[in-house]
Amino acid sequence: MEREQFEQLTMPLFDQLYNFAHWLSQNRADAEDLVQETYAKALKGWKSFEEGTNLRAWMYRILRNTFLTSKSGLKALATMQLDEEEVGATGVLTHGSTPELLLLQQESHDAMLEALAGLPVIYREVVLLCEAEEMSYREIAQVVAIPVGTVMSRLARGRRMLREALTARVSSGATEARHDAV
Amino acid sequence: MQCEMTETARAAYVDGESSGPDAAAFELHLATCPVCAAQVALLLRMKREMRAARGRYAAPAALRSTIRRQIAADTGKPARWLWPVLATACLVVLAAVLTVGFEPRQGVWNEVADLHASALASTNPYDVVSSDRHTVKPWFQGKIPFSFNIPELGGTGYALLGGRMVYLKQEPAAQLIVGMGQHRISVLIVRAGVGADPAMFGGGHTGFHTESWREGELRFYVVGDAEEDAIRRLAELIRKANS
Ligand SMILES: [Zn+2]
Repeated sequence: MEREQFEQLTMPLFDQLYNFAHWLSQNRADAEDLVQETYAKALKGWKSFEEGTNLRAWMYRILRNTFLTSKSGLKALATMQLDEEEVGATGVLTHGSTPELLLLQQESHDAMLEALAGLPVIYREVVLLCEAEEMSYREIAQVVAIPVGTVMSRLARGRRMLREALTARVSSGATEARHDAV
Repeated sequence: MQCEMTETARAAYVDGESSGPDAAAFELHLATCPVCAAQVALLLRMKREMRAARGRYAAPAALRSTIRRQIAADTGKPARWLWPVLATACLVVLAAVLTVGFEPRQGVWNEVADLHASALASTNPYDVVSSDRHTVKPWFQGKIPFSFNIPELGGTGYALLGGRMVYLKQEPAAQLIVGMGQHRISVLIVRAGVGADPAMFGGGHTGFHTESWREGELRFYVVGDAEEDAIRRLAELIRKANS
C-alpha cells in the first residue's frame, strides 16, 4: 500500500530530479546513483513525510543532501573557497549596465549553461532551483535548509558570478578576434 | 546615474517574490530609473536563457524502471482495500503542491516576450506561411475560440510573414509574425482577461518595444525589436482593422 502510494506521488518528479542530479554531479553515472539513492532514502523515510508539507521540496532536499555528503559532493565543496561571503548583495550600483546587456545578447544558451555548470555548487544549486525548477524563495529555503535571506544573497551572488563569467568570456573572445585580424 | 535599489530587491521583483504593493512601487521606480531598467532587462534575459537548464539532461529509461522495481521490491504491507482512498487523498494534496510549485511566476509580458523570442529563434516558426491575410485569417478558424481582422499591409512598409497557434497563460492565442526590413514583430491576440491585464507599466522591461490594448473581447499585444515608432504604427493599423 505505502509503496504504491509512494510511487504514485514521487515518480512524477523523476525526470526533474534526474536533471537536477545531473546538474549537481556533472556526470551521468553519478546522477543515476544519486537519483536511485534518493528514492531509496525517501522510501525508507516515507513514514516521516508529513502529508500536506511540500513533497517536491522534501525530495529535492534528500537529493541535494545525498549529493553533498557523497564523495564527489564533498570534493565539490572542498574545491570551493569557503570564505565566500554571503552578504554583499546590498551593493549599490552606480553605473548603467546596458553595454553588459549587449554583450550578453551575443552569447548563446550554451554559453549561459556552461557558465552555470562552472558555478560553485552552493550557488549553482540555488540558481538552478530558482531558474530551472521555478521554485519560490521559501521552497528553496526548505530544500537547502537556509533562511530565505540567505537564499536571496546566494542567488544574487550566483547571478553576479554568472555575469562575470559571461562578460569575461565575451571580452576574451573579442580580444582573440582582434588578434586574428592583425 | 545613481540608484539606491538593492540587487536583491530587483531580483525579488524579477523572481515574482515582491508582494503586490512592493511590486507596484518597484514598477513605478523602474519606469524612471535607467539603472534598474537595464539591470532588470539583464536579469530577465538570463532567466530566459537559463530556463533551458530545465530539460537539459534526460533521464535514462532504464533508470526509471530500476527505481520502479526497487520501490515494488520491498515486501509490501497488505491492507490493499484502503489504498485507493488514501491514494486519491494524497494525489489531491500532491496536485495542490505541484500546481502551486509550478505556477508560472512571471507576468503575461514575459510570456509574450518569450513567444516572440521563440519565434525569432526558430528556423520555421510558422504554422501557416503566407503574406496574404485572406489565407492567414481563415487558417485560425476553429483553432482559436475567437476571430480577428488582419489589416491590408501592402504599401505600409510592413509585410505579413505568417502565423501560428500558441498558448498564452494556458489559453489559445494567435501569433502573427510581421516583418519590417530586418525586424520581426509579433502580434499576439488572446481573449481579454486571460492572465492579469498588463498594468500601468507595459512590457518595457522585456527588452522589446511593446504595445498593448483591449478591443471588446480581445486583447492585443505587439512586441518586437523594431523602433518604438514602428511598433506603434503597426499597432495602430491593427487596432483600426479591429475596431
Ligand atoms: Zn533604480
